[in-house]
Amino acid sequence: MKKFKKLLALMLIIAMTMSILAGCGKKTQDVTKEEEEVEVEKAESTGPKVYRKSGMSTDTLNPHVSDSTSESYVMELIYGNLLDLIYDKESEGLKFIPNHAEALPTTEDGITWVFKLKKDIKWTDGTPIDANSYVWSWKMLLDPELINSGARALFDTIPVVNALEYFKGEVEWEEVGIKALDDYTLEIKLETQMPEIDVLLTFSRGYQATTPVHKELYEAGMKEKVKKEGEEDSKGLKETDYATSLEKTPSSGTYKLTEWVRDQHKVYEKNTGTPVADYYTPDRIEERVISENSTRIQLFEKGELEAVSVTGDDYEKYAEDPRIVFQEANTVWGFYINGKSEKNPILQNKDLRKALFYGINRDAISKGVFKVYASSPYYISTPCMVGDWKEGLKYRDTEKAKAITPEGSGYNPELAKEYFEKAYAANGNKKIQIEIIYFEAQETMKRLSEVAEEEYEKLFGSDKLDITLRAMPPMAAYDTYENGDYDMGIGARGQNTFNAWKSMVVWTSDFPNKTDTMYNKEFDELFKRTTQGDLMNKPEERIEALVRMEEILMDEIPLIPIFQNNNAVMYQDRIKLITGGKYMPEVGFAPYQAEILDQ
Amino acid sequence: MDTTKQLKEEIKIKEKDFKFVQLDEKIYDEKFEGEAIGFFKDAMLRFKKNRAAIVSGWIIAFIVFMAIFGPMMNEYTYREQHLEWAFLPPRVPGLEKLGIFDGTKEIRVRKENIEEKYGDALIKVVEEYNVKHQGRDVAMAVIKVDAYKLNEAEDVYFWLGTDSIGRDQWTRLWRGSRVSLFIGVMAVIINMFIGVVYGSVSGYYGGWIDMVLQRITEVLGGIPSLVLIMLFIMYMGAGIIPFILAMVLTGWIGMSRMIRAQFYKYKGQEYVLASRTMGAKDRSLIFRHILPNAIGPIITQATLAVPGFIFTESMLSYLGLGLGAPEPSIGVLLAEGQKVLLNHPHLTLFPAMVISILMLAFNLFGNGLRDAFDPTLRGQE
Amino acid sequence: MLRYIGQRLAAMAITLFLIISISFFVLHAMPGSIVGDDPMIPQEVRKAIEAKYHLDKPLPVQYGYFLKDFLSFEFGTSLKVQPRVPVFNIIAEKLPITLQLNIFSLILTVPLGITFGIIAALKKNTRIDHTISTLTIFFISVPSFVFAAVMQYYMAFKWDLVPILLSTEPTLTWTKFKSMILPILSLSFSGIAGITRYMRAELCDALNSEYMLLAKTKGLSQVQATVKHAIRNSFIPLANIIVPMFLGILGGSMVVENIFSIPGTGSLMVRSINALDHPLSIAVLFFYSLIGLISILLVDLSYGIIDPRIRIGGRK
Repeated sequence: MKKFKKLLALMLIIAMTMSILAGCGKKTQDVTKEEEEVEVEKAESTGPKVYRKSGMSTDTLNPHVSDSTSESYVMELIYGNLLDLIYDKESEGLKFIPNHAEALPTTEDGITWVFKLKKDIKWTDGTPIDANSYVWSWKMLLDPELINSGARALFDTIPVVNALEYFKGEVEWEEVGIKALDDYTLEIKLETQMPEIDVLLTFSRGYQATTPVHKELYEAGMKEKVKKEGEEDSKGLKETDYATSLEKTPSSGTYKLTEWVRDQHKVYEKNTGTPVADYYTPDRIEERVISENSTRIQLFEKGELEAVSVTGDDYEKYAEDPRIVFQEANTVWGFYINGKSEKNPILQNKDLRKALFYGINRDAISKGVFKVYASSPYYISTPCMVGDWKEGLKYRDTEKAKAITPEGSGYNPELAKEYFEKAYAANGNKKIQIEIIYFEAQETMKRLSEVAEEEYEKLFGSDKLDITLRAMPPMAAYDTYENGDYDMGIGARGQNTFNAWKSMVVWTSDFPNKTDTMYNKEFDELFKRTTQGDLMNKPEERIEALVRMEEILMDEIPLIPIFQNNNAVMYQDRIKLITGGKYMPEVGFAPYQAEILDQ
Repeated sequence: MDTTKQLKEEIKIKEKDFKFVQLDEKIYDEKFEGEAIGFFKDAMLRFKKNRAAIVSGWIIAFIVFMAIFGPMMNEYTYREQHLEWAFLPPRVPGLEKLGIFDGTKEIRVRKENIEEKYGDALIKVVEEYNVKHQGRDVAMAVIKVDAYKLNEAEDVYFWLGTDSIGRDQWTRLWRGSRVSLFIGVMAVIINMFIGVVYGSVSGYYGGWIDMVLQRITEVLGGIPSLVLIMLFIMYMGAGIIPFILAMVLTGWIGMSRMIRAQFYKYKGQEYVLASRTMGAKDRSLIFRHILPNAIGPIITQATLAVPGFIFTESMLSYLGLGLGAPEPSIGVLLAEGQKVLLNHPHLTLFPAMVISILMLAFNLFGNGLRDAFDPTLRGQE
Repeated sequence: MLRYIGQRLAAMAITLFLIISISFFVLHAMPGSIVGDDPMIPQEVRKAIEAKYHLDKPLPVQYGYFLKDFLSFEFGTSLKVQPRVPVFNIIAEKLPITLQLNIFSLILTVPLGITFGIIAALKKNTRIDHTISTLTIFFISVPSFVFAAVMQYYMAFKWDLVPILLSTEPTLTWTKFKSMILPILSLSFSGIAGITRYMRAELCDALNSEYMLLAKTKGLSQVQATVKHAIRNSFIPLANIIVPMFLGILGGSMVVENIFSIPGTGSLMVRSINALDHPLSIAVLFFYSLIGLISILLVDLSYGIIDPRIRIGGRK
């Protein structure tokens, strides 16, 4: 008994010491040092402009493998690229400006593109960046053994000559269409002609996979694959731990990462003297990882955060607040319908799908459940632009698109009932049963499906239609869609704001990760012609083709579009947004270009 | 030595040496007045004396009654939605005149809108303040409004208010209690059965059987139960049956450990030894002689486990692994309420009250039962 | 005894191995792809990544690879949650703050729980006892996310007593401690309640026992007997809940960590499972299981040490 007590006491002591020791470990010293530096800087400059934001946890900052939006918000600050994209106050629109490059790229045929680089570009540790650094970075990006998910930027987003073949290990690097003509000139050869905007976007902003990587750090963290004779060892995959911790994360952009405690906070300091630094106003950006929405709101109310997104649950409280601004999402959410279902053959009936399309009370969901979202009875979201991006003509504003968009929110109970009766008759006047899959662990998704269930059954009569709900984790749900083993399920389709045609690939018949069940030859044909074929350089016909494609979608209904997730955001009054509350694709409200008043 | 032998030989008592002394006398022995009282009857008698336990029993009965009949007490169903009446505060006829449950709430509005938008429903202006926006002050106000009037629902009464999509919280609360209680009780019954059998065998036989059985529980218990439950539900899909099964996965281990410990405590005791010497079989030793000692702990553990499982269920709901929509449960309601805790506290308050009261009642009730079964532990928790 | 411990340790190793193997198969049976659900990732990339981590091979083959690594204590690097970072570094990085918080919480929990428990037991069936018992059950039954959120709103937001979030200072300073108060409190409530309950039960038991009678016959006063015998004896079984509590806290609390933005171990498991980051999931499971097994062993051994009448491992 005494022994045991002693043991317990001993354990307590050990644990205490451990925790205290661990608390003041090596990491601690490093960060304190940095903090001291910060203090000094603060004292020198009179009132640095600090921007405090909330963020999500960061997995990796390696631009070659990162695939999350929250990480891209970090990378766009700390990494530079050839170009940058900013909000231009004069034209009240977007503007590409050269960053590491000297000017925008030149091309004669839309196939070969040449970038001239500035001569004094450096990483913050002084290592110079030139054309060779870029070429090396891209070689690593496409490396057949590293297998970076970002590699698609160079063969899928834009088709660089032999990039895919190199990635698959079929050709040598020399055959890839990327060359450094001299130390400061880059040449990129494409397989097919591409619109300028796609090329510009691929090489602009630090979050793109095309941003350069720091060669020494990248190689220092590299673990080579060990190949033994005859067998492949499971250990020693070729990979690098580049940018997985503060010391391993360099900076080539406007800001330098000076503090990073995973899942807690980050601090960025401005790199004055970098090419585009003058466009950005904050001298220091502080970021906290906050996962609870109510916590974010409290911090905002206390003035400890510059911006907060207002979800439906809080919207009632802030609905009349003048600071509310709305984002414009390029994603349309809805229910996939399995139009090829074997298990539930009535879903193959077009009338039923139409009934479900017109019978969903979209406003009940967007205004009732989400409060802030917009109803979308269409497939191509509102920010998508057609024609010259500089003019900013939006597809949904064109007359032709308007003509095919259903009226209002697309809710038409009479029409829906008419279609439903036909489908009901086709089902032999038997009760139709449909199971809807919704995403687990997402409260609003659950509510959305609950409302849909109730609205459908109320409209068509619960004696004729029975809807059941089933929860699934998002990844498993998408798996189920791909296997075609579902009736209906929640899902989203995003679009490339500048190239809506390209985004239509997801609906084509031979799209490899197809989650819907539409197979339409005319659609496939139009997709080919608008993205690689004859319609590429005919703006008018290209728009018409897009309208036609959407029309086909509305006829086939592989997905019932419901809402566009336009979030509401509030900014502190000290942040004077230069877009004047207007939401721009890619740059949003351009908060880092905003005028920041002293507190 | 010799003397004793001699003595033994000398003293020889024969039957005829004895004679009856009181053969003719009457024995004045009193007969028992009452009847013989059985084990359970005895327990019942003692239980009745425990006031707290009786009250708890009535509370449990009341909640069970409400769980069965509560959802039928008004015209709403648990899934009927009124999107235009979302987040209405509680309003009860009669009580509303006392200033509680009167369907009012405080909201923030622009001052200029008060007259036009909230004219009729306005009760009073609580606070006025300014929001600075682009160089000018925007006058705002916190006002108290009659939420029912505001949403054109003057003749409507939602006793406990409505949730985010305008469903009646009263109906959902009792339906949720029903589901939660069902999950809790079923899980406990199954766990108790498995745990008692497993623990008895393991504890009674000891040796290598115990070693093997304990390794099995170690493997199962070694995997963090939350993880196991999570994976199981992710695999099986949400629903009441998967939930019960998930709780059974590792839930019986605690019970079996307790039973095993009881067996270790009692199997070496003299009375067990005595009955074994007298030829009692293993089965009768286990179930007649040792296990009854554990009735108190079993009942305490089982009654405590019911709200324990309800609690686990609410934690899982917080993680988003709730029941299949639109079925409510206490956990689902709490998780939904927590998201809007500060704006609409009524959605958290009532489920939290039900779960606390259930827990309290089950505890006191369990203790009462245990005291009744084992009077030597009287009055302890 | 030593032989028994030896047996148990050997058994523990086997148990751990079994746990990890079962986990391996369970985790790999989960649907979904490690590459994520972004449909725009080309099939070539998806396939290549899956092949890189042998996810395209049949499960037994994958298990073979896994075993080879596992037996040489090579747990590998995380795939998704912190790509390329060795899994145990991830856990080690997150442990300190979790430990700090929980040890503070223990420092608060144990004495308070014991005190309340003693008071309740000594004042058994009085108003004080009923109040403490009711509060105890209230704190056990209301989930911690409700307390944490309410305390954050009032104590931090409304009344400005403490910061809303955990301070980012790396060392334990006064300001950092101040920001730790709310998380510590949120973590402590159910612990205090649990210990109070247990302590009250044990002490009631002790107060009724024969040795108390004996002590009093020896001439000790009620107070002396209670302090010297009853309370001391009722501490012993407390080990049964404090040991697992202490070891269990390493798992952290996801709820409290979420609300106060604490970079601890709490959410690691859920995140790694959701991201299908199997090496990390298995490492975290391994870690938790090890702790769980050690705590079971300690409790079992303590039975024997505390009460010599119990012979561990004895036959019927």
